[in-house]
Amino acid sequence: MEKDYEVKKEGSVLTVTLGNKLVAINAPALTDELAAYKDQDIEKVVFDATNLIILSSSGIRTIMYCKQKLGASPEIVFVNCKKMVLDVLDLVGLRPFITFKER
Amino acid sequence: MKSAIKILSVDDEAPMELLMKQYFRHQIRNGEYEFFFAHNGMEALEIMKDTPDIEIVLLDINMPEMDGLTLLALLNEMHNPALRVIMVSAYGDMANIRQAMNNGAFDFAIKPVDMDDLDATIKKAIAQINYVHETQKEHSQLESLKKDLMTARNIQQYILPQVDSAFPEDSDKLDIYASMEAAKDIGGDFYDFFRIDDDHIAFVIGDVCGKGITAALFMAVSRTIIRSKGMQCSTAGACMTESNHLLAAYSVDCMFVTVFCAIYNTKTGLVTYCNAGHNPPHLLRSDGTVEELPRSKNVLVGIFDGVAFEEDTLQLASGDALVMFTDGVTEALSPELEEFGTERLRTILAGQAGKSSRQVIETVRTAIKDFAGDAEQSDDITMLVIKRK
Repeated sequence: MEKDYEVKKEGSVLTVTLGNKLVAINAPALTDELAAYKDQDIEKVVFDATNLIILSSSGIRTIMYCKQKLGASPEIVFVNCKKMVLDVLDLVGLRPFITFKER
Repeated sequence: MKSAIKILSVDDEAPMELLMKQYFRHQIRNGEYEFFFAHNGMEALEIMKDTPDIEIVLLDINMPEMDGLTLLALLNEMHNPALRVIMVSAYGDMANIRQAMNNGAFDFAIKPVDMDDLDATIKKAIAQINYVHETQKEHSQLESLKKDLMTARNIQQYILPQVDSAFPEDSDKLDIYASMEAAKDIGGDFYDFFRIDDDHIAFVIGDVCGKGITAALFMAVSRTIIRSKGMQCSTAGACMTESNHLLAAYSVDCMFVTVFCAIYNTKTGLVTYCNAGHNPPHLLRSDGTVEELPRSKNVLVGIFDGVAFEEDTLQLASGDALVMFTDGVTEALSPELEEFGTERLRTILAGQAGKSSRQVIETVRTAIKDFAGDAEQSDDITMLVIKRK
């Protein structure tokens, strides 16, 4: 699958701009890319979810990877999260662990 | 050490043998090539029979007793995918050479033979033979992996409890049935049920993130830990809290599992349950009413250690059934990529009042199959139904 996300690091903040889905066919590749930032004292990971409409369990695993493996439990931020994605995060009980912002 | 490539030269002209031995003397001395010589087709067949690992045949066309084209046809019947036949004949014999090439010869050399050119052709043949061997090796590894996967699939099915022999002593109070259909050879979904004491039975449904071998291994660990903790803990919430603590320690690369775990009182019909990030089960009342249980208040299992899991209760009256399932049910796709969906499931369940747990599951499975048509199953499909009699 063609790469449909972009990862940028500015200081201790990692910004991940997502495509319209984060699922089994693209999430492992994103996780591999994020692994490069493992020892770089990341304090915040911002997921720009403006275009995201499908989030599967593989995608959730990628988000959890950021929380668990990058830095010392960095803050996870979701920007412009659509209701259907919010529903998934809510269903699996991850809402309290994520900050949601509109832009 | 790599064994010598065995080459059979079939030619009725005696000088050819001398020529080969002379030109390839270094390769013969170094053990790279081993030559065999035959002077007609019949002799060649005998040698091939005694030395079946000959992989290159240099074959003259015009020979007494059996010509090269006839021998080529017989060699083809041996079905050795690595065997490469190089035709050797006079320039004027182009029609026969053409026929040989059409019949599967690898290449040809023109007499008088340019030995440098023949050397290059043999090297080209060896490269192809090595490729065939490599492919055969990979194929056999793949076959072995497929066998391992089938064994893993059988083990996975075996560790799921047998639905037909579940709790015969409570058959007047309880009707339980379950099914799991993996999207791949092995899956990450599971169900489980086991007795805690005379009056209490635990049942569990879970969905591990991802699919394939990793998910299957984590599924086996999850199922074992939850069962073991379920036997020890007094409540569903405590069982999930303890299981989460252990699974967080075993979770490699952020694997997790969503779980619905419940303890059912066979005397009163009271269900105490803990939903840990799993999709809400449906309650099918005896009058056909379908209620979706409240959404999970808990986080999924295996990621955050030290989290306390909350529980809830519900009451099953006689004839009520609790229908638990994984998202492979509601997210099954049609060929047009439409989801099966919760509404469709609710409508089907509404028509299942009074039916056995098995009938409920089989009806839903059939509906999913009809809905999905030729579409590939993208996720494991698992259901567990417990009905109070």
